[in-house]
Formats: sequence, C-alpha cells, structure tokens
Amino acid sequence: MRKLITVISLVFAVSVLTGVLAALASDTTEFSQSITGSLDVQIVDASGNTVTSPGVAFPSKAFSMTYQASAATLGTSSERMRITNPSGTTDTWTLNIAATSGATAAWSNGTNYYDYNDSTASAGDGVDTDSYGGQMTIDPSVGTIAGVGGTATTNVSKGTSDAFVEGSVSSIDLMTAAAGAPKPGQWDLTGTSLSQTIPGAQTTGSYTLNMTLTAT
Amino acid sequence: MKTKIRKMAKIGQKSLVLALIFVFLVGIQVFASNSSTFNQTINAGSLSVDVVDAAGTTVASPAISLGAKTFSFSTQDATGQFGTSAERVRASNPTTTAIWTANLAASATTATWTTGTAYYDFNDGSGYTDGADTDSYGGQMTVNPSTGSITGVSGCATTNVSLGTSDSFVEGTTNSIDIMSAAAGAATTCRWDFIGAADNITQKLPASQAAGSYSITMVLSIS
Repeated sequence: MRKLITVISLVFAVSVLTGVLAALASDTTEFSQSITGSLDVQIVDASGNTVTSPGVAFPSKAFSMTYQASAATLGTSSERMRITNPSGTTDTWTLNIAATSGATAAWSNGTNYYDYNDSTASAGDGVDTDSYGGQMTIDPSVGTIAGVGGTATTNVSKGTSDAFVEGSVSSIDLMTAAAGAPKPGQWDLTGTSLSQTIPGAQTTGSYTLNMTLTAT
Repeated sequence: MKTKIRKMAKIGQKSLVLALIFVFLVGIQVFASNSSTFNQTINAGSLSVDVVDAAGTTVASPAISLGAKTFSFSTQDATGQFGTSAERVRASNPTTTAIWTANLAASATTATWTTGTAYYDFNDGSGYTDGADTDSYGGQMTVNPSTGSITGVSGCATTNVSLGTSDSFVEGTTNSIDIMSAAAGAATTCRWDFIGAADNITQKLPASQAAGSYSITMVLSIS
C-alpha cells in the first residue's frame, strides 16, 4: 500500500512539474527580425539613384598613323562608384574592375579592334592571344573616397595605378577596406584616372569595351 | 414434562432474541460497508495566460517573425502580427474575481534585439535614434492590440473584456503594454482568446542597421 501511494505521489509530482514547465514555455514569445543585405557595388548619381546605363566616354581622337593615348575619368559626380557593406561583422572588402568578357576582350566597333591588355610598348601587338595592340592603365590613387551618410573612411583606401596585362593583370583594385574599417558602411569613389593607348593607324569608328565592377 | 416444555420455550425465546440481534448487527454492518463517501476538492486556481493554437493546445515555442527588411542607410519600419489563429493569446480566469489584465513586456527593460553581435533597441523613446536611456541603441516597438479581436472560449461572454490601446515601449516609462483586460462585470471562471490584426507590431529600425537575424524574447503576463 505504501509503495502504491509512493508511485501515485511520484506520478502526480511529475504531472504537476510538466504542467508548470508547459506554462512557463508558453508565456514567452520569441520575436524575430531579419535584415538582409550583401556587399554591393553600383553606379549612382549625386542623389544616390542607380544609373541604369552607366558609361565613360573617352574624348574623340583623330585618326593617326602613330600610336596615341586617350584619357578619361571613371567616377564622376553623376556616375559615382558606390560600395555598400551591410555587414555588422565583416569589415574587409575589395572593389576592383575587369573587362566583362575577360582577358581576351578587346575594344571593338563591330569590325575593328584594339586591345586593352597588351603590355607591348607604343601600343604594339605583343605575345598575347590576340593580334591587337593597346593597353589601359587605371589610377584610382588620384581619386576621392567619400563616406556616405556619415560613414567614416578609416582604413578604407584607394588602389594604386596599374595596367591590364593579359594573363597577369586581369583586374585592378580600385578601393579596399582593411580590418578596422567601419561596418556597416557605404562609400563613394570618384575621380579615378583612365588612360588607353591606341595603336597607330587604328581605323576610325566608335569603339566600346564593357568593364565590370566587382566587390568581394 | 411441563417443566421441560417451559425450558424448551425459554431456550427458543432466547435463541430467537439472539438471532434477531445477530441479524440486526449484520444488517448494520452491511449498511456500513455498502456506502462510501467520495471527496473531490476543486481549487480556485489562478489567472494564467498562454499561447495556444486553434485547438487550444499550448504552443511549445511561440514566435512571430517581423517582415524581412533589406539593409538601408535610412531608417525603416518592420511590421508583424502578434496573435494569430495558430498562436492566439489565451487568458484564463478560473477565479470568481472578474478583473484582470494581460500584458506584453520584454524579459527586461534593458533588453534589446540582437544577432549576438549587433543590437537595436525596442524601447528607446527617441524612436529610430539612440536617446537618453541606459543603452546606446536606437529603435522602438509599438504594439497595437486595438485592431485585434477577443473571443470567449466555450461560450464565455466578452462583456466588459476589452482590447488594449496602441502604445510604444519606453524604457522606464512604458515597460509593458496591455493586450486585453477585464473590468468589473466580466464573466468569471472563463477563458478568452486574443487574435491580433496584421501589422499590429511595428518596430523602428535605425539607419545603417547591420544585416543579420535579430531576435528578442517577449513575455506575456496576467494579473
């Protein structure tokens, strides 16, 4: 009889305990909120609106039998490169630029071409895979970094001048954030210098080359 | 002979009396063991609040998700629904006292939304920005139960049971927000379910709030 009472008491105790635990569990509610976002780069205007078809127009050049250079600016007030880092934990990133079609891309008007990554002097054709001369040099060091919305520029720096070379320099760093950079943050880069050599006797025409900005 | 007959009669009389006494006693014994008193005490119980599903079963881990937001350098609002059909707030009053109030609060006034490494506030009177409270985070949660509905469980009347009004948490000032309450005249020994309307929770998110999955534990109480 005593044993039976003990068992009944234990069952009752467990039952009460279970009831108490259930009540405690159900009178709290977990609220959750997801804020999404990933490292991003866009070309924006002065108001921060995305420019749908950004472009850089190098000044017109007259036909010449000798090689020549053409200079332009990547990143203007109306087409600024804006990088956004929404992370609260990762502060390092790099923004670079490369030809959209890769190392074998070339300036083209549809029928004629010149290169953007041939390191041969005087815009001559070198030992790369194509038969065109020409090389683009990009110098972000002369540009300006501005934090957006009060973001500090601490530990955010501009890249150094470099020229594309097929097989060895396929992308050029424009801006980087080292450890200690603000996070999250947003920065604009303007005033990057571009210089393109054009081979002698390059056929007249309107040439284009698509370039891609990447943030990693 | 007559003497013997008298003796026999006396013995018979005594035997009959004894037999009657025996039958009477046994009868009493039978009556005594034939009935049993069952006792049952029903305690008054106490007020409780619970999150239950549509069938009235306790939800083991109740939760609500505010709508996902995209990282922004501007302030923004996130909204959600507190009290759905599948996670309704059930107030139980097993007592004979009509008056009670169910409210919602954070686990502490110094609580914050957190991913573990990033934070924002639920009770900063400055709204999106950090104010004069004890932490260094902006953000504020508004709860609007007035757009919801109260249903009596098992036919309980909702007379004198009312929804709370919209309010925002402010550290040290508004630490809890009433969801529903019963005034004098409300039914007793009854239960009621609260189901909120869409977007009855609004949380102000500070500008440049880092991306991540944030959470905060909220506590329902009744008194």
